[in-house]
This record gives sequence, structure tokens and C-alpha cells, in this order.
Amino acid sequence: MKTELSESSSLKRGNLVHIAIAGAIGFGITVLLFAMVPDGFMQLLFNLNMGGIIFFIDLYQVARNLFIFGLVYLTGGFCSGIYAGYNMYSNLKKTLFIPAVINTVGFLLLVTLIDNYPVTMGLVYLLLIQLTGNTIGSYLGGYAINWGELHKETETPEKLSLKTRK
Amino acid sequence: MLLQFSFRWLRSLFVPPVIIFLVLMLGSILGSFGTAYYTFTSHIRGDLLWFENQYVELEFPRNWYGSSEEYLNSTYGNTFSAVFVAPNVFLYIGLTIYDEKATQTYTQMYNISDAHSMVQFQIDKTYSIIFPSNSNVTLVPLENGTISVSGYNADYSICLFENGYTENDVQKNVTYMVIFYVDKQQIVQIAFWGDEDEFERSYSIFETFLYQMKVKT
Repeated sequence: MKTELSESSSLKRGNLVHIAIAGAIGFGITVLLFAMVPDGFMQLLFNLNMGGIIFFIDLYQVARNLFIFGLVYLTGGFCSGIYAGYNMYSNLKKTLFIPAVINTVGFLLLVTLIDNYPVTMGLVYLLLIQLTGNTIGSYLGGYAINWGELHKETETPEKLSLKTRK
Repeated sequence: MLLQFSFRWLRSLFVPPVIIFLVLMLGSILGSFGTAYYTFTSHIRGDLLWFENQYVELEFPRNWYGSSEEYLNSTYGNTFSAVFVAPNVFLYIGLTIYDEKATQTYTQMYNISDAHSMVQFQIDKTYSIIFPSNSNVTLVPLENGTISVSGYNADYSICLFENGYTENDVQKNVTYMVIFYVDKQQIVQIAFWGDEDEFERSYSIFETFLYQMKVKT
């Protein structure tokens, strides 16, 4: 009994470490991509000879945020999800949300404390967009890496019952 | 054998979550470019982008960098500002339109009411902003006069900031032009910056911009 308890607690501790590492991986990738993607988007618009649309700031922000959502937040979340899913097989539904939260909170702290980004409604929207992207990416990454195992699990009982019938 | 292995490996890679991820990512990118393209096509007129709001109607080249901001303040009044930067030539255009209340605040704060005084005040103010960071700068007045802006006679002044900025450790001269006019108790302020070496070229671009602009006072 004692051994079981200690095993489960060490597993939980291990899971927490993996969750933290997954969050850190997602955060690192988000920071790295965020340093390149927004400028790249602007550069791309100028290369396409339509850089002037930046003047129409509301629509430009929508286009820019969509681009960042797809390339930065989804990707950051996906990578953290792959790591988390690879190292933790159990409780994927519950655990994959946490790296996304770590990633989002870390990035929020970075932009507000270090980059001195003003705390406005814009930041709240940014937070919501990032949390959504990271969460979706994290779940997709976590389930992608375990897809084979999960698929096998669902197939096994049927195969077994067929075998017993034979 | 190797080919078969690679295909199998690829097949195992494209599981539904990965496909969903790729679809979402590509969808976001396509949506982003769709929005950008819609913005572009809905504002293009010939080869220029067209913008209109309650303050101004203007056209500018499609490859210019531009940004605008409306400052709303119930105490000091509202102002609309826009800046434009050309990518291939040293050219900066700044535009500020004050509403009646903001004009009142401006005239009371600086104790000036005519366009000519505003022009001189703005040049002195700009020089005093540049000087602390660049003590080598010298202000050389070049020209004063009037110019037609949006159907109104506006006062202008052109001056030269010798050693106004440094590029690749070489100090360069900058031409600065300030235009002011007051109509229906609303101040319209336009500023133009250009490199002295390319002044003719950048000024002709600025003139075209100015000619097409309609201020709604």
C-alpha cells in the first residue's frame, strides 16, 4: 500500500515537472516565433506592394492577429503538447491545458513587465487569442503524439471479443 | 523498400490531430491574407490607397508606411494625426487636425492665434527637440510663403537642419517644411521632412500628396 502511494505521488511530481517543461518549451517557441513572425508579416506585405494597408489599422490588426494565431500561438501550443503528450500518457484531457496556461501567463508577464506593454483591452484580447491558440495547439500536439496508442486502445476490446467468438 | 518505409512513416505522421493542426494553421494564414487583400482591394483607387474619415480625405501610394490616431479628450479637445513614411526615399509627412476645442487649447496654451506665428513656433519647437540629442545641428531658414492646401491659403516655412541626422556615421542635412492654416476655428498642421540631397524628388511626391488631400473643416 505504501509503495503504491509513493509511486503515485512520484508520478504526479514527475508529471508536474513535465508539464512545467512543456509550458517552458511552448513559451520559448512562442517568444522565438513572436520575434520573427509579426515583422515577417509586415515585410511580406511590403514585398507584395501592399504595405500601405497598415494605415487601416483595425483591419490590419485582424489580419496580423490571424497570422500570429496560426503561426505563433498554435505552433507554440502544438510543440508543448507534443512534449507533454510524449511524456505523460495518462489524464491528457486535464493536463494538456496547463502548459498552455503557463505559456500564456509567461508571455503576458514578459510583455507587461519587461516590454512595458500597457495593460489595456488590447492586451486582454491578445491574452484570449493566445490562450485559445495555445490550448488548441497543446491538445492537438498531445493527442497527435499519442494517436497510435489511443487508437489501439479503442480497437483492442473488439478484436479480443472477435477472437473469443472464433 | 526504403520508399515504402518513408510512405508508411508519412502516413503515420498524418494522424487526424496533425491534419487539424495543419488545416487550422493554413486557415489562419489564408484568413489573414484574405483580410489583408480585402482591405487592399476595398481602398485601392488606381495605383493609390484611399482613406476617408470625418477629418480628412487623402490618397497615398500603396507601398507607403502609414499610421493614424484619433486622440479624444473631452477637456482639451480632439485631434486627428496621421504620419506617412516612403520606403524608397527619405520622406516623412505628418498631419494633425485639431477640432475647435483643441484649437482653443492650443492658442491659449501657446498664446498664438495666427498661422504665421504657429509656423515659427513649430520650427523653434522642433529645433529645441532635436538640439539636446544632437548639439551639432544648425537651423537655417530658407523660405517663407503661402501655399494652397485643400482650397485654403496656408502659411508655410521651409528650413534646413544642418547635420540634422546621422546615417552610417555621416551627418546629413534635413529639409523641414511646416504648413499651418486655421479654418472655422480648426488648426490644420502639416509637416514634411526630406533629405537635402533628394529634396526635389521627395518634395514633388509631397506636392502630389498635398494636392490630392482634402481636409474637412
